[in-house]
Amino acid sequence: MTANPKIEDLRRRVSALESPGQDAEKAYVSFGLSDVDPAAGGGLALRRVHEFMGWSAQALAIFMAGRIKGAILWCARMHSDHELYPAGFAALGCDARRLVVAECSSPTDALWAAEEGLRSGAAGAVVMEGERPLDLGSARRLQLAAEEGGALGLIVSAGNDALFPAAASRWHIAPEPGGRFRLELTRSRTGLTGAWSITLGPGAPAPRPSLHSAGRTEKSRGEGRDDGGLVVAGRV
Amino acid sequence: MPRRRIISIWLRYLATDRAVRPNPSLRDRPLALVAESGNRVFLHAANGAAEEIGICPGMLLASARTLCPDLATAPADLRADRKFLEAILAWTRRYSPLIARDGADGLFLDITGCAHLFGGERAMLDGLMSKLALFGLDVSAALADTAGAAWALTRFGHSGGIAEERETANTLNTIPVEGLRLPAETTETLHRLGLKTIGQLYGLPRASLAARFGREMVRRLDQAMGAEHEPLLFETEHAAHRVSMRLAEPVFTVPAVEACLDRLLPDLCKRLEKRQAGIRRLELTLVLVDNTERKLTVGTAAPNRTAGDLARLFRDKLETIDAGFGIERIMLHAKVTEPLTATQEELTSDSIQAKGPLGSLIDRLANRLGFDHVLRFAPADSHLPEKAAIISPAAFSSDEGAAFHYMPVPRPIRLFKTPLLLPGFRAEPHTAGGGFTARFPLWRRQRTALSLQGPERITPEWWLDDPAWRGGARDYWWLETERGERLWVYRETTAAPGTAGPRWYLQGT
Repeated sequence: MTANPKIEDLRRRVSALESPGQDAEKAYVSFGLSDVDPAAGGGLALRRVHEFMGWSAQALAIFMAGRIKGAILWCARMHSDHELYPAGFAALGCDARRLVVAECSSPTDALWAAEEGLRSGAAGAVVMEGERPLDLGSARRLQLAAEEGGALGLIVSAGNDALFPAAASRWHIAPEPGGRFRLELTRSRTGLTGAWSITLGPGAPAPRPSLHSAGRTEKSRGEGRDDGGLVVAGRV
Repeated sequence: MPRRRIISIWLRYLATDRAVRPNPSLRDRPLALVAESGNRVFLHAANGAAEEIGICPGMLLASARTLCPDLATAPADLRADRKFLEAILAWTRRYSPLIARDGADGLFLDITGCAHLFGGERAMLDGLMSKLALFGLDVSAALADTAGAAWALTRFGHSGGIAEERETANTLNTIPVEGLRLPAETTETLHRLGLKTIGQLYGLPRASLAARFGREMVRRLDQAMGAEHEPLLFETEHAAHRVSMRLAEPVFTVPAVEACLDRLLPDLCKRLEKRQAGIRRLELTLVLVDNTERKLTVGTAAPNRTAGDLARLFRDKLETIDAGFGIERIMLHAKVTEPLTATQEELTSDSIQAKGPLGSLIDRLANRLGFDHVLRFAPADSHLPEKAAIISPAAFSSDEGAAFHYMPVPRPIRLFKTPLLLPGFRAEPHTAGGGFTARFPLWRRQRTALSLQGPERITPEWWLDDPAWRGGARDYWWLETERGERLWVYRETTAAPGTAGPRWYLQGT
């Protein structure tokens, strides 16, 4: 590595130009949604492991990974009846050629592969398909690996239960009528939570009015919405 | 200088012996290996049982079948034959360091000065032959002063024959002239002139022999007699590709072996650097105290000679090794190498490997999960959903090339390996528009779904017969269930025989 601060500075500026979603100075990747980003403290922090749950968790992972430059390591389960289908990635703004899929036959292999990927720094994002809850030790190992390698770690599960105890932020995403998704932040560093109705697509999606924004204490899950699905509420 | 002593080994049925190794019950039955040439199928090799009933290589398979209707056949595989001979060659290195190939089915071993290590020439030759026979090989071998004489004895003398030192002329006296490795026309002419054995040639004037049959014949005779030196092309082992270490005390633990690797690997890498080579496959052999061996092999996607990368590839595999009573010798052998020229270090890069950190990450993953389980996607040239992507091992592909098309109609991100049949699918059309409401059971729950988008008709590739597409064209719809799940389903446009109507399938989500 070069120790020249000028070159370091130039590299940072170039990488900021190359990936608009990723700010090297602040080290997070934004959603590109003006409502969601502030609640998450600017977006998903790099060097951290985040958790996505719900029916559309994979779609959100693909969308977020598409906003980071570099390779994407996807630690997939091997013996499932379905597999990733790259033709659908373009609609989420992600180039499937950047993906390296590691088919893991056991949860141990998947954990190992994710840790190797995070630590190596070779991949911009490492996605692990979660199966069962991780113990605190494994979670901590993943977190340390992410800090060392500087990558974004994502634990993805289609269920509604949290699997990753040390997640820097935890999101639940499920489709809702009209081709939109209901994105819910259930845990974050800032302590804020909230729920939004969003679309996922290539480029920067236009900000949508939020269903409602909830404060630190407000329970946000399972609240009713009116027919139009658009209730604008101010942030607490 | 002592006289050279050379063993010739002839593996007469090498190809068929190799072919029956997985299935020894075929050994005593007539068997032929066949190869296609043009529209005809020829015999490439035949085993002993087949040759006894008059079947020989070069015959048409049809003619061979008339001689022996129950002739067993297997496809010829020249590559496998060559590799098999190579393996035998490697095995015979225990007898001598100087080994040369002799055609496709033989070997020459220069055992000058080696015989006393094996209890004399007789014991050595017998041991060699009986061990090769144990591998299921039909072997003949002979020992003489020259390669030519040993060759003749192997094929025309009795197997296991030894021509004592300086007894070459006497031994070859009664061997037919075919033993001189001459072209067929020359031996034929010799026969016509009544010259049947090598001994008959001894007294003839050399000048007229050369004038009548060419220089080649005299040269072969001289080579067999030892009057002219015959150079043999010995297969050398690349000593540069092996390093080993003997330990004063046996070691048991993974860190101890790793420490040894940290000393061996830089040495190996430095040697390879001199030859401008990089490792593709590296074998680690651990010799235990009880003289048994444990072997570990790792592979790399691109030639590599970074000691740290290579050491990391072994790290996970070492844990699976049972060290028994301790490891006393550690050997590394770069089995497969490829040219790797030194690359200039980039100004801002901390790695000299052209493939970069991602390449070495893929190597590490692939060595544990298997090279066919670390994959990359590339777009394929087909409009069928199942064939939209080429999936290839990441170690041997890159992210360059054409990009995936942006599909105007959304595609799912997960595809079922085999589409799920949706039995009891009932669709009620809406009065306005082309949409419908569907009710069907899925995953043990009754579901109600609205059609979101469709139909998108995809027709099969008529020029290919794909069993999955025998149901004709498909109409694809996006459905959305009452719980918000989005399902990519299709309806076959023609009903399969024996069904009430076109069936619905779930293909992706």
